[in-house]
Amino acid sequence: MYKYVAKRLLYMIPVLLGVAFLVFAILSLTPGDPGSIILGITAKPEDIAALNAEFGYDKPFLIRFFNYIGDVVLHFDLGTSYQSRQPVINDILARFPNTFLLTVLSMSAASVIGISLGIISAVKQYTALDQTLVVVALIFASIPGFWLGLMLMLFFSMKLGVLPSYGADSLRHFVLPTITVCMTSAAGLLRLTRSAMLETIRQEYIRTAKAKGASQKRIIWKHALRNAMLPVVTTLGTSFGASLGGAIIAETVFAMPGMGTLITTAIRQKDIPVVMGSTLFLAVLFSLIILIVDVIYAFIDPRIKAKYENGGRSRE
Amino acid sequence: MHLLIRVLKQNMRMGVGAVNRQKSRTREQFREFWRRYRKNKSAVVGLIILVFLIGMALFADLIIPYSKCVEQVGAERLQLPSAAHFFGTDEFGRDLFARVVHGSRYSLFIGVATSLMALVAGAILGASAGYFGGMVDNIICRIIDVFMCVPPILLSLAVVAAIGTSMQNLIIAITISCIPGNVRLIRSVVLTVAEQDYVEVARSYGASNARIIFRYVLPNAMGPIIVNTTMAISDMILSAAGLSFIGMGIQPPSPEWGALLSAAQSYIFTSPYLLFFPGIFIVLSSLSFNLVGDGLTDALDPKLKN
Amino acid sequence: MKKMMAVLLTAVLTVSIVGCGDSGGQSGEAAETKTEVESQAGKDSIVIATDVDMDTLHPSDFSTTIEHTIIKQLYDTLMYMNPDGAHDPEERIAESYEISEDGMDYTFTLRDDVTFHDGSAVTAEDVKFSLELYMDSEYQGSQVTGLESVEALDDTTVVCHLSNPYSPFLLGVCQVPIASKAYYEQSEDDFVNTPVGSGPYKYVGREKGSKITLESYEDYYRGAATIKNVTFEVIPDQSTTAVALKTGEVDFAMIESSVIAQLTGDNSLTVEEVAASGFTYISMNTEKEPFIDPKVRQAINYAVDRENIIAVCYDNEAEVNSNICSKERFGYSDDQPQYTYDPEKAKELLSEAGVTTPLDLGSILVAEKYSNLATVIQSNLADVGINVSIDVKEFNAYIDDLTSGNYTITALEMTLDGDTQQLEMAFISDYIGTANNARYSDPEMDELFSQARAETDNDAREAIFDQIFTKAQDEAIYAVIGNPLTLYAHNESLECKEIPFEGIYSIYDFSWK
Repeated sequence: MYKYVAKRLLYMIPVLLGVAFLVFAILSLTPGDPGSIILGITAKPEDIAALNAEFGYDKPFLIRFFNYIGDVVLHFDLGTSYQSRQPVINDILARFPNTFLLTVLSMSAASVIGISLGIISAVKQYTALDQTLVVVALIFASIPGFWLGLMLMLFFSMKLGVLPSYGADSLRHFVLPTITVCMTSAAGLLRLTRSAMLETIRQEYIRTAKAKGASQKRIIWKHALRNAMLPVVTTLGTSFGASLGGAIIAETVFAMPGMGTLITTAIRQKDIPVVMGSTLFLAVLFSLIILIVDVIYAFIDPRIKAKYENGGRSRE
Repeated sequence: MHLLIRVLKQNMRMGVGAVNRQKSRTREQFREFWRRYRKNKSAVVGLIILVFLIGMALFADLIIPYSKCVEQVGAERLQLPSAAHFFGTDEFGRDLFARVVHGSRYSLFIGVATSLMALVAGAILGASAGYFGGMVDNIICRIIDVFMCVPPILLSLAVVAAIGTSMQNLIIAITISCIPGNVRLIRSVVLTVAEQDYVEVARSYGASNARIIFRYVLPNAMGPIIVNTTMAISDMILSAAGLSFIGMGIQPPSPEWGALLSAAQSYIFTSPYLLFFPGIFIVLSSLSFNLVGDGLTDALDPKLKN
Repeated sequence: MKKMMAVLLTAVLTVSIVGCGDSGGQSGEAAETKTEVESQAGKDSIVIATDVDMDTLHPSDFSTTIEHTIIKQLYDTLMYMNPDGAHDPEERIAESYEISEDGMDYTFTLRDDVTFHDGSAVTAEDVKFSLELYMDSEYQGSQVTGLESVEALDDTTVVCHLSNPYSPFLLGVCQVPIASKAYYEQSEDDFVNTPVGSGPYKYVGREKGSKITLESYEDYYRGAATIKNVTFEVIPDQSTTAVALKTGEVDFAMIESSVIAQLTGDNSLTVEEVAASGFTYISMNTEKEPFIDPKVRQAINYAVDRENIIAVCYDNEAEVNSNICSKERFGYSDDQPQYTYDPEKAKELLSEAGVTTPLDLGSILVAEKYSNLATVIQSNLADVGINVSIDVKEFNAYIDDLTSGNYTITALEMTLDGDTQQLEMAFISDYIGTANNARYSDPEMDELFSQARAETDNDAREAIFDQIFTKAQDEAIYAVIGNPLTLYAHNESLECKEIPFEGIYSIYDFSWK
């Protein structure tokens, strides 16, 4: 197992380099340069050139890329923002806690709601309860995020006046954004859990267990759930990425300073160091979460664990 | 890479053969499928809604001419729904009913096209990774990891900035951002299925890899994949809306539903019907694809074939 | 057993992540929420919403409106001059000024009772330093165009030497914030991040992406401000800003016309409409057919229904004006030609120019935020037989095409504020490739603008500008639609004495009723 984890950590290096290169290339090869974006259309060409030179943007793409990677690897320096002239890491540290808290709160809420209702729905397949749960979940999954967010704000902030409409100062500020983000993921998890449960309930070993006279409860908890959790756990891991997408919308609607709005603003301003820094930061985090998920995965499914320990498959 | 191409070629050859062999059983299978599908009442409702929406898209020109979508009547701006304008008019004085009806063509097409493209790509990559394991798995997974770590908006922006905004480019942008998730999901399902006994048996008979993947592994992994794809269609419709929202959607004045919805956002307090009608159609289409997907999951499940 | 462990592991993971998150959330300072509407009596604080965060408080190296607004509260200037150029400057740090006969030297005499927020006196050396900061700045250097050197004669006398007579200099120099040389030399980082200014408010602190707080400087030479605490809150979404204004969480905000309808109905809010020189216009590439011919450009000017465009795209919150010079600006006259909506006239002009309709013009290029403009213009042009499709581009890609002339027709907004002289950027050949989007090149126009630049007599300057704008209108170089108003919504009990033309307000002028 340790060997497997170590190997996965090693794999992160090419992935992160790949991410860095891809993002750097996208930002450098699309139109516009930081100088003219900052100074605007009325600026003199020589001022724009001077500013670009100050940023080192006048050098060829590959040289800039290797300089950047050099700084990151050798000095742990994520660079300085073109816009604010401040170290990128300050921007990230100021905003990351909000996004992280929002993501974790909504993922937890979504898992609790989605998985438990999904199990109920699967166990009670084809009953009125099952159908209602599924349809309600689907309706929530089909509502665009910004619309749901605004509706929540209208009701709770304006009509009832019980929750703040913007900001991230206290946990109360996180209630509405969390609901906004978790609704879509909860619906997805409910359906996935339901279908995975149904899938496993029909497997041989469940039938065997049934035939052996095991109780319904025991079958669900002991046999079905564990196997059904496989695809669910994968989705959970990757959902962190999707939640970030949801977080962008929630952060915008509820004026919450977070990574989502940081990255989108920086992309539009072509603030390469900020985009690079935050993308790499999230990439490391994301890779670690995926790794943790895969380890959990192995715990749940011993067959896969065995495979990892053999160092991959060698059947052919 | 050429390994992948080989797999793809084998699959195509084999696919035709498989279809021929199964022709005789098709009708009987369909009857069985329909019997099981009907059992799920909400799936039937979903199917009805879906047929209605597809009908609307196909016969849009008969319902109301396209010119009504773009005709701007300055004197009739932001009018409430009435007999003359069933859904009211927008800020340009255009008939919202016409825009919603014709919008179905764009939205449904984008949803279906992107999720099918992403499914095909996801199935090929995911199944190869999950089935072959080792080096193939490694390379595919690392590439997918790279793409998963890059924010989707950045990828979309790259596509749009590089080749401009249009229907095709919108489809490309959305497809790219949803392939990685598909690959991971299909890979994980295939990982489980590939360990099953019947795959071992097939392998011991000397069946080719491609045959095993497409004849045994994928069909048995179908449940989660179908759920995922049908949900994907609605996600894609919403993604298109999201891209319209950040200004990378379809060219105006094309009436894509998401574009209608995001344009109406400014009028959320004063003319809420502008959000209501496109919104309700997005929800309906998404809902129907999902319900049908659920029905299909139950009806197509190979493990129920006895 | 193993399954148990798996379940446990998942649970522990979830809990621990939630735990970390919690502490992360609390680290952000817990200013309590302001959902309850506070009573206004004796209120001495204000919450102002801004749609973007500020990036820097460097007095010369800033680029956005919000940065300009905050810097204006932190720093005072030599004089205050309303940007419409019509008023005489009011004294601020300088109590008087003198311009030499030849228009080459500007001498300012400073008050001796002005202090920086750290208590040190504002001296001529600080003024010299601040002006030099501007001379070297790529960001704001254009404010002091023409300035060659600055000389501090004694503690309270500063002389600016110009390289050539440049009439707009006084307005430009009035915009320069006076910063402390000693503080800059002490630490450049502090100078930018924790500024010590000369204005009515001093910097307290900020949370990145979220808020900036200021408090009144009690020793301000004009008397301390009545509103003591100022908080700028970052709220990117306009609908959210509208809700926050209605719930009273926010007292004052710049708003977009799209949310105006939902705010005007609310008795607790007042909406202020402030004129600005920014203009919405159609730019036609005069290097490309069919727009080489002025008749075709005139036809476009007659074809667009300005009232309707302003109703649709600005909810009527803009002034109709086909002249690039806005009505408040120096040099504008009602006698300069105006274009009105006349599709028949447009068709006539098109046939006079030998254009056969329907004419397929390719596409109208726009950035996403102007796609509404394009949608209305497309329909207007179709009415006179010109067909265009709409090509929406990502903003930076758009600007690339716009400045390189890779387009036929486009629609956008532009601000060339400051002195009317700034409008030269839209017309003279030096600016082809930057702000002269029509790529208009005419030696006579270049000459007129260079005359205006050197002319120090106001009446003579006005006559030159009259010639310029008459010529611009006659040749229909652009098809200007109008001037969007800058809109502010604020709590009804907030008194905002004067929000000047162009809308950079001073919180010092605000008070609670």
